[in-house]
Amino acid sequence: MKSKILPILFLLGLMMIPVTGQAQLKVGVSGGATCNFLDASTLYYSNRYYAERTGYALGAVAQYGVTDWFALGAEAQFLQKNYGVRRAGYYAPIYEDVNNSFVNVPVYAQFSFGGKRLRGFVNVGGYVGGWLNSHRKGSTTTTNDKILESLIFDSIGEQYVMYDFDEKVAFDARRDNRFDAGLMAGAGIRYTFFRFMELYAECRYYHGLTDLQKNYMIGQVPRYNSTLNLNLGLVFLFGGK
Amino acid sequence: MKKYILILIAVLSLVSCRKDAPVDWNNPLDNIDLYTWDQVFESYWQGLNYNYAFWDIDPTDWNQVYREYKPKFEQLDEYGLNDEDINDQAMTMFHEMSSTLIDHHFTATFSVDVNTVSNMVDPGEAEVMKRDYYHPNIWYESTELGNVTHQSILKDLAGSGFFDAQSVMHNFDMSDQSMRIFLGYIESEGIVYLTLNSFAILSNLQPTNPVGMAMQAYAAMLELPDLKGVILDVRGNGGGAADDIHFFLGRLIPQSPFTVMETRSKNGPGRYDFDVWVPMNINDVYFEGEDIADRTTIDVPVVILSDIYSISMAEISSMSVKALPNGTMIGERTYGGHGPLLSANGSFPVHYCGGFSNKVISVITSHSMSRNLDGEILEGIGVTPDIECLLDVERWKNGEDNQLERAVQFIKTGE
Repeated sequence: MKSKILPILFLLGLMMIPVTGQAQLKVGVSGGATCNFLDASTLYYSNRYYAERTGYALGAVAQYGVTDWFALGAEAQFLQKNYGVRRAGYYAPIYEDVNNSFVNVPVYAQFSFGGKRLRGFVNVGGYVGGWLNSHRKGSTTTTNDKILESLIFDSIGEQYVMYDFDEKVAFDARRDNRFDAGLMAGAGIRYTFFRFMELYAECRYYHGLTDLQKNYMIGQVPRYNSTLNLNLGLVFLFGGK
Repeated sequence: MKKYILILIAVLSLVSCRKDAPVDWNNPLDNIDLYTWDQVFESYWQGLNYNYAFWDIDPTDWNQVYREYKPKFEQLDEYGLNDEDINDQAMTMFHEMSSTLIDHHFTATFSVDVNTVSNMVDPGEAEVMKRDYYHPNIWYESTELGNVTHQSILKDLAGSGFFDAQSVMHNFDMSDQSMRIFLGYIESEGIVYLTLNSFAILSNLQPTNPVGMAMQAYAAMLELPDLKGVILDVRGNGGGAADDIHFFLGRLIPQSPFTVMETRSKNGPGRYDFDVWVPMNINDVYFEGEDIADRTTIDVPVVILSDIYSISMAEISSMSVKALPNGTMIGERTYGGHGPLLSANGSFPVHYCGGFSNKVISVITSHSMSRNLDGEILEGIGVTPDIECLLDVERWKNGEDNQLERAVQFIKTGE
């Protein structure tokens, strides 16, 4: 209950900020890289760990400048939240690289500071979105293809013939939660040139609050995405001074 | 100012709104001390919750099992594990909650003293014994089969000249569960016949070992110029080493490697966290000194004889022969335990599922699910023969093997 009321109070608080000056609309595009980490416990799977992996992001940006230091923004962003599943030691040849594509719609408040052309900014808000598709690539062990010539082996890849795979992963309606939502925070700098164009660079963090799984089993281990996103953006300015 | 502090607190509260991982899990593979029936239940239930490979197809509602039986086991806590009457109650509940588990390799043995209720849960055996064509294992003496065994019939056939004098018979007089193997050549029909009660070929492949000698003789027999057919008899065979399939069927495949089925393990703690389907191949193997160029392609009919007690590797072999272009399975629908497995605790580091064992519980369960080349998962169902021929128990008691006769008839006539 607390998690539903407080965001509403937050947005109401933002609406009470006085408006000064002439509002300005900004529309543009952004692109960049992501680095995602899957936050999940490994329980007693002692040889298992998750690795962060990079991906890319593309988006359409819209911002509404309420004052010269405060704006509201929304985006439609396609981004990858990838991760790796790894094993340690003898089992290291077994691995999986998972590519997950999402569409996110972050909505945020932007607070800026600095000069007329070069300004710093901070974005705070949240996002909703959906999980579009999943793909995995990796290597696993076969069941009965032992390398019979091997008598001494330092890894499972020397004991068994490995099987490489590269496939699209179908969603499992019993397990997969395709609704994605969470918090977003970012910081960056922007530069206005030609009076109607603005270039910016931003480092953004998405903190997923929705488990990648539906609540389908007792003793379930939740999984959350934590995503760093570096973006370059170009927006066109309309209206304002 | 107060407004901004409230907003900051709100945001920080939201950041921590992620669910925690289960805090009271235990590792059922550890040799943990379990002192109460509630602890034993938790260890058993959690072990299967994370380690069982068949949740994708199993009809058992494991969440409902927890809700229903957890309070019942909590009520037994005050008695500990040393009261045999209470242990009977607990075992009755374990039998009930596990009765619909589909893995036909599955057994769970509890190291407690009991009165009347078995301390071993085996839902697969219970299901098999209800089938209308059920009969005891032909390798063991039983009153239902008139104390006539597979060994006694084969000995009589060898003595009567049905098989030629070069037949190899090993361990037929042993009363233990050692690997038994019989290799014979039905000279009048040009048929090679091979039977074994379990799969432990690779571990006995030394040239001086009778099993190794039999397998080399088998390979040589397949090169006989007047070969008309091959009968592989896995009736009553309880399975064994997965690697044996290369030595058992490697000579008979049209090309190497030859894919006969696929297996799939788990790749995470979730019940539906599965790895990819991995082909299971048969590869041709060669003995030292063989000249590969002299090898002939076996294109004569290959028959595998299977029955209700063909389990595990015997079923995988049956599935494999059915996949051969010249292969035919004759006999009965098999047991239904198709998933490969390793020793308790041995498979988990690789497959993230499979058996587990601690001081009180020892669970045997497969580490992978399997499916045939048509994509059918037959776990708990068994492999259906191309030609059904149920064991004629009355003729068996008279020392006659109607299923072997049917296999010979098929090779001779094609029908």
